Amino acid sequence: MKDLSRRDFLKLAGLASGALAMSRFSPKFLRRQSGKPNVIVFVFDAMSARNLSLYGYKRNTTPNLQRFAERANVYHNHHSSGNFTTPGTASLLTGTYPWTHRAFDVAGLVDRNLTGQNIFTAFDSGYHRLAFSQNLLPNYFFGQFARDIETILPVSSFCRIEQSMGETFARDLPAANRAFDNFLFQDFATPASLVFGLADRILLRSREARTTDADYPRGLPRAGDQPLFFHLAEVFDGVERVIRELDSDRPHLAYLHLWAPHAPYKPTKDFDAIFQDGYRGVKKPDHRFGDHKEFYKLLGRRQNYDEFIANVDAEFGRLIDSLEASGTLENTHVVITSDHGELFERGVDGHVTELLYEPLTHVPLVISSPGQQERRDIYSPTNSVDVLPTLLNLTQHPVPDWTDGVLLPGLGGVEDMERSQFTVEAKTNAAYAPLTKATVAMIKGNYKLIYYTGYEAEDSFELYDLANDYEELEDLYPAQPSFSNALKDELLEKLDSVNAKYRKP
Amino acid sequence: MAIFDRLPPRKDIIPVYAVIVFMVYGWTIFKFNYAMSGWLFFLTFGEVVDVLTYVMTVNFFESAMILLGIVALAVVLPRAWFADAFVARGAVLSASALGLMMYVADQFGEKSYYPSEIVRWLPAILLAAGLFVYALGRVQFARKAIEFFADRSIIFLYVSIPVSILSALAVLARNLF
Repeated sequence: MKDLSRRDFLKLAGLASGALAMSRFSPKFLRRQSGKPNVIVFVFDAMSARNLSLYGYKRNTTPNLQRFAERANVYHNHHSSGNFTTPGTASLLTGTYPWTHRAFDVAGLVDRNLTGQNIFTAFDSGYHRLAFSQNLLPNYFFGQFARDIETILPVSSFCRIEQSMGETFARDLPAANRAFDNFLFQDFATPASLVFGLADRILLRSREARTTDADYPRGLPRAGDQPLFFHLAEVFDGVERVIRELDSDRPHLAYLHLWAPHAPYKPTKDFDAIFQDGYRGVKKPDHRFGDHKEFYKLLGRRQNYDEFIANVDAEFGRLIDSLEASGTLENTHVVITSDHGELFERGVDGHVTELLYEPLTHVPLVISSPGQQERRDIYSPTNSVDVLPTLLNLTQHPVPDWTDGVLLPGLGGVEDMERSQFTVEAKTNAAYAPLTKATVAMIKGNYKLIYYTGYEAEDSFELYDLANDYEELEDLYPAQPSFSNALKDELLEKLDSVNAKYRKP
Repeated sequence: MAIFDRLPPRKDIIPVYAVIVFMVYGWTIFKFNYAMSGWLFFLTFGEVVDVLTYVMTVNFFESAMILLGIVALAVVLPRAWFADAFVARGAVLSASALGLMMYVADQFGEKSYYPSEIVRWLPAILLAAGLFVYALGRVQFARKAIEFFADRSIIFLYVSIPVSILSALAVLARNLF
């Protein structure tokens, strides 16, 4: 120190004051200054609101979600825009209906002209944007939006067994995933690769046979036909770890799409057979578009589904407790929702169907905001397209004009019972053609109109009063012609306008 | 050096490879046509071609691997057992092995989660196939007929090899740049 000259001292002093000034522009400082909250969106695949005790279901499937809801907004009349993952998730991510984003075929993609219109792009680079899905289908969208996502976790993250070949080609995920996981090595049909595909399948089966877990009497849960087997607790632990690690420099948007409670329903031994209570629900007549599955088999499937939901709920409770203890929730909007529901009635098992009854489209939506202490119940109809504009508004981003959604009531919007909102099923309709083979449901107030077009010689309609006919048993369409016609005209007019762009001149 | 001396001549390897290509690529292209009918509902032509580049690249490596196995057999086994009638025996062995794989793959597909019955019988099936291949090489008429068909299959190589090489280059480019 004694050799420090006056000139050196001045240099040091200059550097120190410069560093001090620069530190005020560090990301952490900027975040503190901006006060922007984090956003975590949990999407539980195939979670029907109709099977959650949060929404009045007879079985106590979601005690932890109910606990969480005590300081959140609970949307009681929330619907997905689709009845399976592709359209449902695309609507969440783009804030648009399937007839806008065009991802309504299985493994479909968002309109290539609209790939700059999504939640990740709209949350600008001031946010750290992370996407994770255990379901391959949303990963196709992540590939399309990759430019605006800082972190995309592999579909195989947190899995006990994984053999996803497509992920090896991280720079070209959409094409590689489709080539390998959805075609060459596909496990839902004969592998298209004769040598490697067959070897891959034999290896997967033998690994599966060797992997037993005492916690899972029915075997490890699997992500459908994907070569991914997981332990539910490990997935939630992994998700928690990821969230904790994110909580540093910038505010973050984390989109976390978990497979469970999607089929196959494989709960741990603590939840296996907990609902052997003889509950039968309401027996409904088979629908002509149904698969004519026997009622007693559907009862068993629904019981398994409910047990898996209870298992997911327990893990969710553990996760939320942990995030709360770490202080993560203090500055975080937490969204709980699903991409579609599940049907165990009218001869249908699951969600691969043309039908759009409530168990398939009525999904949970619970949003907890920083500092919220009391529960708010909202009963006006809302849709998955509303999530994007609402989250943008909550985080002080401008709400874009390209979204089909509106701000959710209680979070910037107002309750509007007369607003019309839609669900579209069109998995056998070409993406760039007018919707001519589809099912479209329109909810307006307490009424729901379902339109089937292109399946039979004549189009048909059904109308239900959801307030007085919770189970959708009494079709009012023939009995109330004037009211039915008014709704029908509105729906057909809407379809006509969205189809106009795709009609050949 | 002795090992290389035991390698079958290139003019014999090519028809055997052609049979392998016919079966490996044929299986995949059949499946591809089926899948494409669905993809065309929502993928652009360019996106379908992107997928095809991966498919062709994988097929190339698969067929090369099978060929390597057949050539290795010719090197390892006594000449009289295999290499003396390499085209006929190689072609029949490839066709039998790939045919068996097709059957197993089909069983694995939608008929059975794990076709344990086939797996149990696999050693016996392989032994029978080996004997069949050996015997066939000794029957002059059968040998000539197989060589004729293998030779005619070479035409597929004129398409598969250039397309596969271009595909592999495209895959490399898409993943490097």
